[in-house]
Amino acid sequence: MKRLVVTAALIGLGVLIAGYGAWAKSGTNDQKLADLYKIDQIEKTWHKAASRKNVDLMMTLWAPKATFTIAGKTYNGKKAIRQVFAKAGPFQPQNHWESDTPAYKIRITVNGDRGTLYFECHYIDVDTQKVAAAVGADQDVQKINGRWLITKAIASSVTLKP
Amino acid sequence: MALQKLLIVGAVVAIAVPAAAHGTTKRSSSVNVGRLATLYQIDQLEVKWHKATSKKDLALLMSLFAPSVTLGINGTTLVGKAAVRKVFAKAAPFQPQNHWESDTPAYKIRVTVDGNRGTLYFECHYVDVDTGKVVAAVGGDNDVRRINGKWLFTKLVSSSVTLKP
Repeated sequence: MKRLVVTAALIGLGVLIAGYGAWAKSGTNDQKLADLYKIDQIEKTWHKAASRKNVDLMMTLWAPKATFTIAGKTYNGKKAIRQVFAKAGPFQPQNHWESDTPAYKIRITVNGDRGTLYFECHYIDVDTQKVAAAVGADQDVQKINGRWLITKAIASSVTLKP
Repeated sequence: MALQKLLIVGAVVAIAVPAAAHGTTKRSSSVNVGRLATLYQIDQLEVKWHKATSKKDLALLMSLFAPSVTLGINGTTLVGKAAVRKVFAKAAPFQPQNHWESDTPAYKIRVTVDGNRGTLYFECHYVDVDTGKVVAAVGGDNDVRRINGKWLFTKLVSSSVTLKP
């Protein structure tokens, strides 16, 4: 009788452990998808900030010690990066640009609390309906205090193509 | 005998209390993680849509639709994948003479999820890469559903949109 109880208990424990293992595995996959979602929100917020000329919103995406390389020059820290955006085409009041992206060209990787993000910005002049500027951004991102932020960005030129 | 009983009860409590505490913490964070994971999966429908229309990949587009999908366009409703496929086969983005890239203002995408059902709104701005001009812009108000573990469009309603920041 005692042996039976012990065997049943062991089987029960084994089933519990196996079930937890399977649940944990699906949880790991969900965690990865959730991180991909959060990193992708950086791209969406970027386009919103650039379309609405909201420099404050744009700066919420950057880590304090972020670097931004554009036109061969590297800017260090949020203050310097802010100055770049304040003077950039999308943020000028005379430009009525909507920041579009070819979503299928977005590339995201995640590895623990670090990741990478690539996307393109196609700035559509809504007055002429033409692409006024197109740029790509290769970025390193990092989860800092629970939030995904850009730690390094390098702008590149892109060609419009399907 | 009493000591043996006490030891068993103690062991059960020692396992159950941390397990219950662990379960509660995990449940609240895993619900949120699960929801974000689902939002990401639904959003991939939009990503694949833009890829399919940019690459003229009709098979890829059709893989996004449920068998009994409906498409509301120009005041008409089409029912079923065969009917919907015919519409897209004739649609401008899929014509060989058109070199269009399908862009989207990503910040205007709206996704909702409720169990195995959800909604997805997004816009397509078709840019003629030869002229750099937006040649067509359309919005899609869609219902989506998880069928056999895969999120698919069940209802599509297209609408005209205006380009604006």
